[in-house]
Amino acid sequence: MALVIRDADSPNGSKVCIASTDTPRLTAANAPELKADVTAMVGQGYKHYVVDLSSLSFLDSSGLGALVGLLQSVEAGSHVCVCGINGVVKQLFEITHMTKVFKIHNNVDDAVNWLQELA
Amino acid sequence: MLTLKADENVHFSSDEFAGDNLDSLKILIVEDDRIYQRWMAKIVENFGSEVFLSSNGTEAIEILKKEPISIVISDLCMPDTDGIELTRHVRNLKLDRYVHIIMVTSREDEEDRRQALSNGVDDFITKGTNPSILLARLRTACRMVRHEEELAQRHEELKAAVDHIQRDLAAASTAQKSLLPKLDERFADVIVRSQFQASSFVSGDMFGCFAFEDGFVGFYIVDVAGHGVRSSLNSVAIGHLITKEYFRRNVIGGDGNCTPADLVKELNARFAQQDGDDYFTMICGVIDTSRDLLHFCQAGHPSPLLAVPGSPPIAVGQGGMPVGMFDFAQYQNGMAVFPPGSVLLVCSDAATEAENPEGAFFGDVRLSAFMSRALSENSKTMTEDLVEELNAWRQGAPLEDDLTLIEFDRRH
Repeated sequence: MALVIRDADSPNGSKVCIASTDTPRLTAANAPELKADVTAMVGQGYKHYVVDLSSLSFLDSSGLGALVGLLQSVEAGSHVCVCGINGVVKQLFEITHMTKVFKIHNNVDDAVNWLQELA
Repeated sequence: MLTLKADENVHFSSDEFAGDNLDSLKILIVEDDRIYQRWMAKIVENFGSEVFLSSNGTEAIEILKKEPISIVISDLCMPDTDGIELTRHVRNLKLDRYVHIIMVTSREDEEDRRQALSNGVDDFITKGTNPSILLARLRTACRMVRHEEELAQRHEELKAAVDHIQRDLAAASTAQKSLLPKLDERFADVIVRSQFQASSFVSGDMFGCFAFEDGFVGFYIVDVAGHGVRSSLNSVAIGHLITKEYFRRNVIGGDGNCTPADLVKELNARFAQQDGDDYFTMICGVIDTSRDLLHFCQAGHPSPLLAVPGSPPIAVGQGGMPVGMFDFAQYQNGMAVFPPGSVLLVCSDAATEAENPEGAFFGDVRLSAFMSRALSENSKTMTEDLVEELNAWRQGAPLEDDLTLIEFDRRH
């Protein structure tokens, strides 16, 4: 298990999945595990997703691929928010322009508030 | 001490143990009481096992070294080497098989048994126990020995398969490395030097450099996500695709206008899939030596460091989406002045992500400081020196990612 998952309800009743990494490194070694967690998340009736990466001090290309897999799996109109990125993880998001495809927030509360304001 | 006559008959039905196959098992009985020793031997022999006898631990060890014994039935209390000491010796022998040890005790002493178990004894019987109990214990031991033999055989089969795969991977690695150029040559007035180090048997990095007429020098570096065979096959496919002609057709227009982003767009259209796994980062560019310009396109690859005369190195480029990740990705042409005396250093992310034993990354700041120092020393071996610097930073720890370094030098 690379992700710890909990639910949050937005005001219009859309279920929001909040998934937090529980490891400091997301690499080729545990990316398949993350991918399996992501696959398990999708199709559970969630409308939006918030992925909290604040535990991460390192993310490599395989880990990033697994996160992009989530983005590619969700239904149209769903948002995937990423929060808690710092240091080299933030640098990787910036250099690969992932900041343009994921909604980036400082923390889970900010992401959930943003989703609530959308509703 | 319990004594039994050697010819004392033990009555049990062989049907009771139908299906047990003690045939071909070699069993060693270690017992200083000769009568009890022979009594046990007779029971075991009745079931077809080959029996070895010893009256002391020292002799038993010698037999175990010579014969493929699977099961030892040993008395706990013996002069000289007792059963526990014998067990300790057996476990230290590092035999190529597991030896199941049944300890014969004269009483059910908790402390004796605890000590015996902690030294590697597998099972117990009480001296003078019913022969049916002895055979039941042997039946259990037999099952475990057979299971152990099956595991050992599977282990050997797996080991042979792994050896075979490793030989194939080593051959693939050699073949792939032969595709990666070791650059140390002059293209127009640009000296290009490269260093490559693979993180595993096969790698996901690919790069190339081409000299065109009119003073154009083209280059690309690709880093396929992940490691191993899958990344390697993808990188080789990309390497075969980007020929000098393919590069020119996509990058250098007839009017001399350079559009490296067109090459990246072309590759993205070809490789973009729904699966986020198979993507790659790249940087490609053209040095136009007649106009002193560097044209480049960055697709998720770290920014190269550019040093023009009189200025410290700066990172150029604003990043860009990796190739093969999104079909809607847009790519931009970047441009920088690259006059004579300039140096461009392009590194894969393995450079800045090299970690020291404390887990600190080498990082952009150290990389930039390294380049400044190398330039001030007028080093002509910048990429070799950087490999050494990164090795020292990692303090000998193996690379976790492929390392590609290419220097484009106009300092002459």
